[in-house]
Amino acid sequence: MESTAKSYRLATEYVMSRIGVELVEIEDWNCCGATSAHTLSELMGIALPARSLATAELKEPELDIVTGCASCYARLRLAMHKIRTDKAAKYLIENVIDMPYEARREVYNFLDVLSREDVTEAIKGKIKRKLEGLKVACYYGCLNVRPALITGAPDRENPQSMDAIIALTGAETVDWAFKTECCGAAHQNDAASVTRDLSWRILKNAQLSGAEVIVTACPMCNLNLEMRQDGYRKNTGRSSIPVFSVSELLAVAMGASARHIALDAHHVPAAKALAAALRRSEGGVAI
Amino acid sequence: MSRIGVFVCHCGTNIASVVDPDKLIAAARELPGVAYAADYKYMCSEPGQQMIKDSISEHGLDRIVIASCSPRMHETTFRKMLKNTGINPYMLEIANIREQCSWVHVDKDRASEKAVNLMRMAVSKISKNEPLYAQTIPITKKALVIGGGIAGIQAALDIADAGHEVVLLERESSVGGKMAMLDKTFPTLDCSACISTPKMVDVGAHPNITLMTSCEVESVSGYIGNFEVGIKQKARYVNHDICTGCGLCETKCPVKVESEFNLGLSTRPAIYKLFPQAVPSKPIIDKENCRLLKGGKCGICAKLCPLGCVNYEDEDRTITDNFGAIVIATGYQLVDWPSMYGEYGGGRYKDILSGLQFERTVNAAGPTEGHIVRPSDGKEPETVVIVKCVGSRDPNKGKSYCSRACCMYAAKHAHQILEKLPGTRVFIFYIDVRTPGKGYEEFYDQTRMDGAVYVRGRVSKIYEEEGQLVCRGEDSLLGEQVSVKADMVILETAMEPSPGIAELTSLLGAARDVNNWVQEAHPKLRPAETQVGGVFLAGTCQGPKDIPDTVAQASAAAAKVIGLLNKSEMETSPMISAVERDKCSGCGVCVGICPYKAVTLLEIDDRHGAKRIKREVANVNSGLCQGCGACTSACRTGALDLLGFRNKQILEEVDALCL
Amino acid sequence: MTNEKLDSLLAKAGVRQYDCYQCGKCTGGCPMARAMDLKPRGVMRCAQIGSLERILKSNTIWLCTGCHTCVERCPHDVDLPALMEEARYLASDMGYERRDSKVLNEVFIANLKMFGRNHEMLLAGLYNMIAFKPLQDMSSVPHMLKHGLIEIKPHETQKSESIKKMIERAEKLSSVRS
Repeated sequence: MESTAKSYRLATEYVMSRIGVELVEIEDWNCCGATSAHTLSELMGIALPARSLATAELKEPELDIVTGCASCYARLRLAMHKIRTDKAAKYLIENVIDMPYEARREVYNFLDVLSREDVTEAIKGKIKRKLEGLKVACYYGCLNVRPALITGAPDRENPQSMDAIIALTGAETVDWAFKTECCGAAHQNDAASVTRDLSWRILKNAQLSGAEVIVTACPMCNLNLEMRQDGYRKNTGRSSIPVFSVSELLAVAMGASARHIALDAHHVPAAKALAAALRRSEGGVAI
Repeated sequence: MSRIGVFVCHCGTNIASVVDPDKLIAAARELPGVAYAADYKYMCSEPGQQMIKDSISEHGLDRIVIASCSPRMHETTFRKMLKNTGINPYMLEIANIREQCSWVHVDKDRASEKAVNLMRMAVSKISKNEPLYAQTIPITKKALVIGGGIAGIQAALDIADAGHEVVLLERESSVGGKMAMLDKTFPTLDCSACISTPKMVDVGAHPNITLMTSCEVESVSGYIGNFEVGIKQKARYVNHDICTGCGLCETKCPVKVESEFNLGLSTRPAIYKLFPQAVPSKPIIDKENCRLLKGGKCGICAKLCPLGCVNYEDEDRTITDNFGAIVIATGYQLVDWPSMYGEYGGGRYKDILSGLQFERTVNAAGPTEGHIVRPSDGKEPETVVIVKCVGSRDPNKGKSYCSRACCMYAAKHAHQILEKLPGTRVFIFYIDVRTPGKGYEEFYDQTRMDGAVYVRGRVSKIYEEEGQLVCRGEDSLLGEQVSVKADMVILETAMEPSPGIAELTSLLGAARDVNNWVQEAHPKLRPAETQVGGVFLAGTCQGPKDIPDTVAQASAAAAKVIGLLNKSEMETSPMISAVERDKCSGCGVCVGICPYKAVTLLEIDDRHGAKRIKREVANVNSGLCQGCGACTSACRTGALDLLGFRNKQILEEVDALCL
Repeated sequence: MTNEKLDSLLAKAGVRQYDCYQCGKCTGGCPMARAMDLKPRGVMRCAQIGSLERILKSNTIWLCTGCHTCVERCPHDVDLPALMEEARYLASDMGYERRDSKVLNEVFIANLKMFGRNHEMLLAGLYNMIAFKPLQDMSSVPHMLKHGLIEIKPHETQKSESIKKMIERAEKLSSVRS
């Protein structure tokens, strides 16, 4: 989350420090390999995430792992699952990563952490201003919820956890149909025209369902939905729609300024919608 | 010395093509006690049976071993044959050399060897057989039919018309069941109400039928011919003895709740008749929703009733009655699709109807008086999508089975839409079209010619966009993705057994299959009976079926009941457990182990030395015992023995094989 | 011969081809189906009639995003994503790889070998160059550079050398497994 996901990172750090949760970055973590690694080799697709997890287990044996990216989540969780259920694979992977890995701790996605009862309570206590009436479409993406065997998500068609978190900010989440439709981010480079249509129909359904902004829990989804909206405007004649990470809305509701979360770094102008919602809230504050 | 006759059946080539009959005959002739051995092409045929009978008198045989098919197939046939020969029908053993030998083996030599062994075991066992005699039990000439849908109504009418008393029990406040909710019936399109309401009126008026609505079975004891059933009459809060059904009480009730009969498409008051044509045509109060019964202030209905029928103090009562036979006709319900199919909106979209909701919509007596309109805005749809197999043929999310009636009523729904709203576009998403029934394929053809477009593929997702329902799927005949924007979607959902079927079958001792449908005694030859003597089944409680099949099965069950009730007493199987009281310690292990509640402890007078004492011993009720043998293997002292399968007989068989 | 390969592929994927009764729910919900030359249901059909070649030569196996919508909704729980993955390995071994995917994946892994992490600009840039799509997404570059969303200098893990070795070990073992 260092480069393209700048706002997401800054906002997450802001929110976590406010509610007193310390995040420890895994020392010398490496890329999980995303779609490419397991496309080339099953072993590589598991060994890459396993190396980061094994490092975490070695350095911070008491800590669970959390990731803010849906694709990392799927890969890390699969590695955890594989180590726990397949002894032969465990042997092979440990050899490749040259480290022991027992998968003692859990891998969570960011939504899991925010949905914990104690975290939710802490967030409630830190909300300073309400994003009154801001209409939000929560986009979960595929890999935060599927495959069910790996994620254990209870509802893969109409999940609710992000909606409940966003509701804490006073924003109003809309009922829409594309919460877990694939945006095709994995192929945004090598099959760009198809991916473009996939993200466009997600944007369209969100707008038709009354949303003013879309909120994601993954930098890849976020980038893919946000980056190509020029074409969306030109081709569909619709207006563009700002895309935020879940942390950004929480941070703003907790009092973060535009600078705190690098609001101007958004591809789609994002400040206006937030400003309007803050004006509507009690006292009428500015971002 | 016994004189045993051994008869080997070829069963055409079923047995003889694998097992060599000559080897069996040769082996049999060597066995002690065997006075005669012969083979024949079809032992069960008339000449085959005559051959056995002739041999009995000719060779003075006193017991018979037949090596043939499974005893489940023809044991009864051969017992009947023995009746007029002077040999007790239980001096017969069947060696199963077909199902357990020739049908499952290919190596002829080894199969013949095994057949010889099976035959030797039977010969050994029969040397210890003893004559058994059936007992008779009296029969209560009254039937209980559980469930007042079309199956229960038909069964009750048939039994009553044959002159027997029937109690027809219904959980709801009116008979009629699902058929009363339907509009038209396929493939003839006759109005469901027109053909079912006269039958409902008939059961209400029949002198031999006692209608018990708002009732449930609470307890069952006894056995075939002699059941004692506890029935809970739920409080109605309206005295049906006086009520004329004028309907005045319903007019001012302040409560409005979703109507069960209209499946949430309209509301009803708390004092209500299930539907206008209800039988009995009298209201009840829904205590969950009545303002007064919930502790509030009201009492309007009582004030309005000119005859003073309303009684807020009414309570549930239990009535006990005796029956000779019981028919299960509890029917089905549709699966709760919203909890199964998130991809179809999980119940969020108002304009997605279940098939039964559409029946109410298109029914002239329904909430829209038969106008096909969208629940959301009351507008007529221009495009309708019908999705079949929702919950059926889907082991992952729903039921693995096909619900059988949906293909036909989907075609009917399409036909009705095209008839009432000409020009509407109707798309039917299907996987296969199944029309095995008289006139069914022709009906499907007609629906296609009416203009319904059949699209082969299962819909993957339905969502709302711009006031329409977008149905995405594959046209698998084209091999392309398709997306249809519809104004209304009808999901033809799977059938599943009615709630409470597990409890009811447990009370009756009847078995259920893996999907909770009531298990028939034999899928082909005893489709209207359960394994429990005297308990029969009719209609969709056994599995999904349409109205013609339901009615046919109901009449079949009725015929079985009539056959039973026509006798004044009946024979019971003598192959049941017997207690040797001297050996019995009265420990009672058998009482708990018996699945049929046939074993009880009985206090008897006995002597202990010179002292007179009272002690408890096991006692087997010959009407209830099904001869399963569970008690005999649990008995620690060996006091219980299964007649026809005594321990000594079984051991003879073991010796024959192992020594 | 072909069927032995197919059987082993299906066994590795944990898919029984006859579980599928060709309802098409997979294709209906597949986000990428439009661009596939063999639809997901068609892949199962080919598995049923023993036409492994068509599966391996299709672009389908490379376009599958692994979103798992198909298996989530499949009435018979057919794990198509697992089948696609196994088919990709076999297709690679047999030299049937889709050019665009091959380029992207190789650039991606080369990236990891160098830095241990993904350098987004380098990835997109190299991909566009090799795949002859010089202008794809380039309009966003100035914005991203200005706001520090992408950087010229990559983030290296401290032990990127060890990661490179690890990837090479995995590559070696993977080529042994089939």
